Amino acid sequence: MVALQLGGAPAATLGEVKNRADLVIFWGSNPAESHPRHFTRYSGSAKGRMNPRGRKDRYIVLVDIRPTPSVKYADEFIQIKPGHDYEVLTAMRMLTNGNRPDMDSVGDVAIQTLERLVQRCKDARLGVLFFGQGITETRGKHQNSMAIYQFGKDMSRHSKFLTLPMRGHYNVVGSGNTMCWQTGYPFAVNFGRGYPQFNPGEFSVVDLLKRKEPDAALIVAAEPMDHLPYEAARHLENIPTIVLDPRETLTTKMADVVIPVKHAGVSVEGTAYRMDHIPIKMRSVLNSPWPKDDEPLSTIIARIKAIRKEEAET
Amino acid sequence: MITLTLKGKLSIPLEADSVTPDNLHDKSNHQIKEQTVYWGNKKKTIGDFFEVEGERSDRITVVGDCAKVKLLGHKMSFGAVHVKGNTGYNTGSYMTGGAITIDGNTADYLGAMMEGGLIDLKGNAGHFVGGAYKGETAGMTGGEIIVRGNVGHETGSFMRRGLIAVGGNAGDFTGLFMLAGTIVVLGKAGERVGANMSRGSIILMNQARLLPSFLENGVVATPAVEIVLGRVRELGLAPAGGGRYVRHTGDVNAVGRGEILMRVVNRNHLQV
Amino acid sequence: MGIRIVNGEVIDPAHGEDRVKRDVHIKDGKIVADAGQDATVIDATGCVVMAGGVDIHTHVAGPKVNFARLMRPEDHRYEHVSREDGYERSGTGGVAATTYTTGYRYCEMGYTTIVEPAVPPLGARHAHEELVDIPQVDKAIFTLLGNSEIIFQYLEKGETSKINEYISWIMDATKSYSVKIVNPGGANMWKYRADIHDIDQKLRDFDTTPRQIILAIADAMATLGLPHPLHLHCNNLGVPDSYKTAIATAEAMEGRPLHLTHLQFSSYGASGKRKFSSEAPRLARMVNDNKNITIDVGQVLFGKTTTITADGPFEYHLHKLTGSKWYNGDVECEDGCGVVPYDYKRKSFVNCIQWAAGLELFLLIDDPWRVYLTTDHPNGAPFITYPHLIRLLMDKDFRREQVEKISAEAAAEIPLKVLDREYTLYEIAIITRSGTARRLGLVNKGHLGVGGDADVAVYRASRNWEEMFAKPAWVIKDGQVVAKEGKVTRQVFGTTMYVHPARGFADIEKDLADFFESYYTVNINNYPVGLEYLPRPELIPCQVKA
Ligand SMILES: [Zn+2]
Repeated sequence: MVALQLGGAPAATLGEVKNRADLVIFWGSNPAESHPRHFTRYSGSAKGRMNPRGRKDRYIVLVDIRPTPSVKYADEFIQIKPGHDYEVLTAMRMLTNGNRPDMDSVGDVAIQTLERLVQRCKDARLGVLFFGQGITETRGKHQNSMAIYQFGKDMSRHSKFLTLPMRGHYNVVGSGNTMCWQTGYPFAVNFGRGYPQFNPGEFSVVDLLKRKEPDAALIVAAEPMDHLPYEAARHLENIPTIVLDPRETLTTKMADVVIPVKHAGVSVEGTAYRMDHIPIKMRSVLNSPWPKDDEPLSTIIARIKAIRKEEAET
Repeated sequence: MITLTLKGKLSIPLEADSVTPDNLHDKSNHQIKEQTVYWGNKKKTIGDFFEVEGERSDRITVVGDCAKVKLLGHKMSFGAVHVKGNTGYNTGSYMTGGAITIDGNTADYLGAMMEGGLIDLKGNAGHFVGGAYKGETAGMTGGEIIVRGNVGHETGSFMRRGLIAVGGNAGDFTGLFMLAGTIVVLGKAGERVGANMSRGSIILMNQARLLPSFLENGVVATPAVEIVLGRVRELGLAPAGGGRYVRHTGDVNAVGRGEILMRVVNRNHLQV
Repeated sequence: MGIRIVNGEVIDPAHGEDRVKRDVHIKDGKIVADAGQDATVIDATGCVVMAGGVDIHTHVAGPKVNFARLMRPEDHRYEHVSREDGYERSGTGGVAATTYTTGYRYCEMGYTTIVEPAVPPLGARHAHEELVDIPQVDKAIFTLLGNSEIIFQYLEKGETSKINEYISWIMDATKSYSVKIVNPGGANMWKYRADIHDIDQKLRDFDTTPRQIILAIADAMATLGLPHPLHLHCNNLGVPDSYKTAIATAEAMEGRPLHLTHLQFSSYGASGKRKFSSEAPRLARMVNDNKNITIDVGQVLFGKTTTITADGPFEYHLHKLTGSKWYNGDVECEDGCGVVPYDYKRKSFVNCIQWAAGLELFLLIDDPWRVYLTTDHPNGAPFITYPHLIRLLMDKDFRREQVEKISAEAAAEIPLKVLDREYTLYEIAIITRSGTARRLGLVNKGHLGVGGDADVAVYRASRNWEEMFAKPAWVIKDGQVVAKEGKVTRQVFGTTMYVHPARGFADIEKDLADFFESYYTVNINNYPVGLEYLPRPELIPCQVKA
């Protein structure tokens, strides 16, 4: 997200990958385990307009610091030294722009190997680079994603090329989109002064919790006790917490107040945004006695407004 | 002189952008106490958190551990703020003139988007010293920042003018996307110095591993470096003088007109 | 309870009323003959009373607008709408403002209806989700079909009647109001990093041309009786000699109704020392001579903005030129989009020509009913600059002062410097509400006759037109006062207008199922946007000619 804010990116919906991509690179991503259907639906065996034979019409490259179960689906595996993604991408950008790095290898990858890969990208009908947590969570973090996007933009001067993040958690793209149209920012928004302010690090949840700054938490359909670093999650145990969730989770077990709600896409219809930002209608398939998740929130807001009004009057 | 003494310990951060000479210099003691600060989601006053002594002065002293006090000296254009203790996020951000002295440490974004003036930090700083806020394509456009301790990542990102001097070590991505200006690191610099810099100078007194996109361009002993180091000495740091520097130009993936000057520490350097 | 606006001067071009002293009566959300004895009286002494503004083309919602917001946090950092200022919902501004802020700002200028004109079908659900969060105004979207591979396939086979069925289906599936074409065939070619340069150029993978695409869609729209005709962004937009493509496109229509959008961006020639010139006078003549054509201008105003368009190749070109941030978003089977920040500078020769060309179109097109005020928000400038633009049109001395400030080289070349026309208030009312409402086919909007929607703006008369139009004294939406002195006083929500063509689609059901199965990555059953996404739907009837 921050990398997008720094410079943008060449992107597309996943159908473009299905219909046209003849070169697919996975970088720091292990789709065989993290996104098992990605390969069959979009990026590997999927058949499309220019790829009538599916897998046979695509060349697939895997770039990672160690072999993963995805290797067996790839035509080529490039292993790089841990923590050297940025250096390797820098060298690839140089090669794309017509500059040869003055060295034999970078991050344990021979320059010739990178040269071949860059040439493949330049020759592709549509090249796509998917990148995952293996690159976004290692040294350099959002700057690694930035380097991917910059490589994509450099490559766009030579061929049709896309750079797409492999996103995980259910509808994280939807919450990012909604936050963005309501506040201008996709996450790390602080309303403390009566309007949205944005500053990752200063206002992002993990950092706030690590610094022990919040004195209460309202958690909606998230699982911080499982997903956040220990020192951040631990602060939640020391402050009042209200959790809205359809299921019992580590977070509901810890919470002071749990409000069970309907499960979006299971017991209540709704909209979820796919990783390529396409909104998908979610249907309700089961009955549930609980309210929709926006109902308790609306009630809480109405009550707070009423209290504020009373306070202002007295 | 106006003296603000923090009354207690803060856990919830305080946004104190009202604490600038611009805002307080013409105010009475009582008026200063009434100035707005934001504490969490509440609107409060300076008097709620600080004992206030003095009035009507362009010299402000803040006493106490203000690690949770943000935005001190934000947008200030004249006068002096002296913090006897630590400060929080965004100290001196968007500052255009005057001087801020901090005796302790500070958090991220010290002097971010700074346009002028001087910041002198005795302790350590967080990330993005003299940096750009997310999305901005021009960061610091003037002024000087001296950090006697260490700094975090992305110091001087998108810097356009001015000087940042670091007495201790720097994290990764020093001078990221730098457009012009000068950064000096007396201690050790981390990885990826000058990534995507198009112009500007980074002077490193110790060796650092550079990106492939920087090309070695000879050994120089330049008066320009000595002039910069002379100014750094005036500001109270003590870099060694009279050395020779290996000049690297880059980032060839950007405009490529930036330079990283790395001091030759010993004879073996060139073989390393 | 009703409202009676007294002592004001009514400007209602739809009924030929120019500064007529009469009362305006409002009851139950409508303009009525008599609001009754208990009506609240608004004393509009010294004011002009107009219908609420109707913006025919403004990019305010949907996937590419949200990418423009996302990509530019620096655009939001310096402007905000705060809870402390009495707004129900806070937000941030900048050129790509947040949804609530967008609604408030339109309302505070006296606008009550807006159209988001460029939504790819796959983005319709997203666009409607954003429209739900835009208060104060009635809204509609246009669906992008100029790069639809389904239509291309039917064109290859010459199956016109199936194109009619498809457009009928897609209007319903996207809960859309009309069709927009952006760079016909160009976004498809951009999927191979190519573009279209001529309306008779064949696409790479489909045996069709922009001319065939445009005519087929225009004819289908006429057959279905959509209330607004084809809304077209021409090929070759933004480059020297773009005016030739615009003229060729207009001629290709052979009298069919056509709306050419942001024509200013298609009004450039290649003459002069810099090989970049304004050919706005020629295009104005073309419009004057062809009564089937209406245009909106897409005025450029100096300052920083963000460009947002479905014209992917154009945005790439702009990114290469400026080195700015660049987002590209190709949409499978349908279209594409690009986002690039841009700064229009008075020192730039090209930008000055663009600025002048827009004003020349306004001043040289004779019939105000066929030229509409837009900045192609935010491509030429953000919509909050409309009052400034109105002053440029109404005040020739002010305009002359502004010409003095631009690049001298450009000032010497522009036809604008000899134009003396000043728009009247009556004409401004046409190009900002009555004309746009009429062209959109909105019979209840853009006028103050009995039966019209009670969307009214009351402006305090002033010789400084910019101040006057920036802060209306009262704004009324659906019969309620919602803003006073240019500040929202009450949050309300307008309707979302859409059409539902009568034409069935039995003949294409199997084709669609096959096409989705083969080329889309979404299930056809999950594709249509249902009415549950429109909390206040307003069905506008189609007019099928016998
Ligand atoms: Zn437009």
